[in-house]
Amino acid sequence: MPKRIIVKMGDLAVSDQEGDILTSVLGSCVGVILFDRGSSLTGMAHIMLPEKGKGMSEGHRKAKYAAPGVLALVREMVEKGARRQDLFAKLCGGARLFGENSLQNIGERNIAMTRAALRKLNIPIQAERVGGETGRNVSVEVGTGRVVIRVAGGQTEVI
Amino acid sequence: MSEIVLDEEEVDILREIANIGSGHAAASMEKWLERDMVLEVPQAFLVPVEEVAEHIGDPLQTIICVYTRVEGDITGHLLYSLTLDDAKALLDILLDPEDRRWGFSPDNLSAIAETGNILFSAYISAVSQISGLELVPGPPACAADMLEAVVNTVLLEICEGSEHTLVLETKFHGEGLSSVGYVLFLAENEALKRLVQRVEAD
Repeated sequence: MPKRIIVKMGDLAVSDQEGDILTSVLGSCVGVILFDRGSSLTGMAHIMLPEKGKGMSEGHRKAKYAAPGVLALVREMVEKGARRQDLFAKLCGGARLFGENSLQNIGERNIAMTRAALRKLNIPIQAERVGGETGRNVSVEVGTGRVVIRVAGGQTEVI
Repeated sequence: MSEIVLDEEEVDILREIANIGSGHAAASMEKWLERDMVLEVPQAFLVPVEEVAEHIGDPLQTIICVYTRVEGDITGHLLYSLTLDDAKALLDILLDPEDRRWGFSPDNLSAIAETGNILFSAYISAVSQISGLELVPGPPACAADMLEAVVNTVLLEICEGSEHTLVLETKFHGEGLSSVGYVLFLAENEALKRLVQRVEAD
């Protein structure tokens, strides 16, 4: 039976069961989705913050901060049999919901730090839907690699 | 920011502070909407940040949210959040139905932001009065989006990586009407402790 796996803020999940769905709701958070060219292994990390600032706690979540989160996801993919050089990524999220002049722009920094972490590991980004001013409900289908993005109001896009 | 460490008694005091703040906010709503308001008893929950959204409602539902940062002697955060049905109920009172079209139009959002502003000002001035702390609301910001996306975005901006947060939630109803939204008060550990100490001292 295919499962629907909710990837909560700061968490990550990996599956190779075709038909499984990995899903997250992203505002300023960034969803990193990794695929393995040689298998159906698919993983998603729900990055909360760009980096660990002064006085911030490490916490128990594997994907709380961008660089360690990407690394943890790569490790889990490799442990389950993916070849590191066969990994590629899709990126979603990092929106600025309250428009300009309000709050900081964590979304933008989340995107920048996540991209940098992927670049450092030589993992190409095949597609992305990042930034903007709307939240995204992202669902990845294991096996097909289809990433379905829904925004409030019902519009849907597949990358 | 350090982790939130509060005992039951402190949470009770904070719930009472939220109760007084909400009471004043409801009174200001009565004037603004020209109808009686019914308040639910404020809820206080200390939960991991990633679980706040699901405590409030369906993470995927679209909400309209007004946010303001509270500055002054302590820093806090207020959110006024409405489901689409809440927003419709509110706008039906505020705007002439003939004049308005439904949707996230600038007029509709600005009427909701103004309602949030009125609620926040009353809430903050009540908390300021009972604690003796000087508190000033910042300009309100408004967003219409999925609940989980909105709540998490605000939480991440304010929680600075802490694991848990205390949410003080009050639901508002108009007399004979469905809900017209709820107010959430969030603050950091030191700010919450200071609030408790100041109120206890009196």
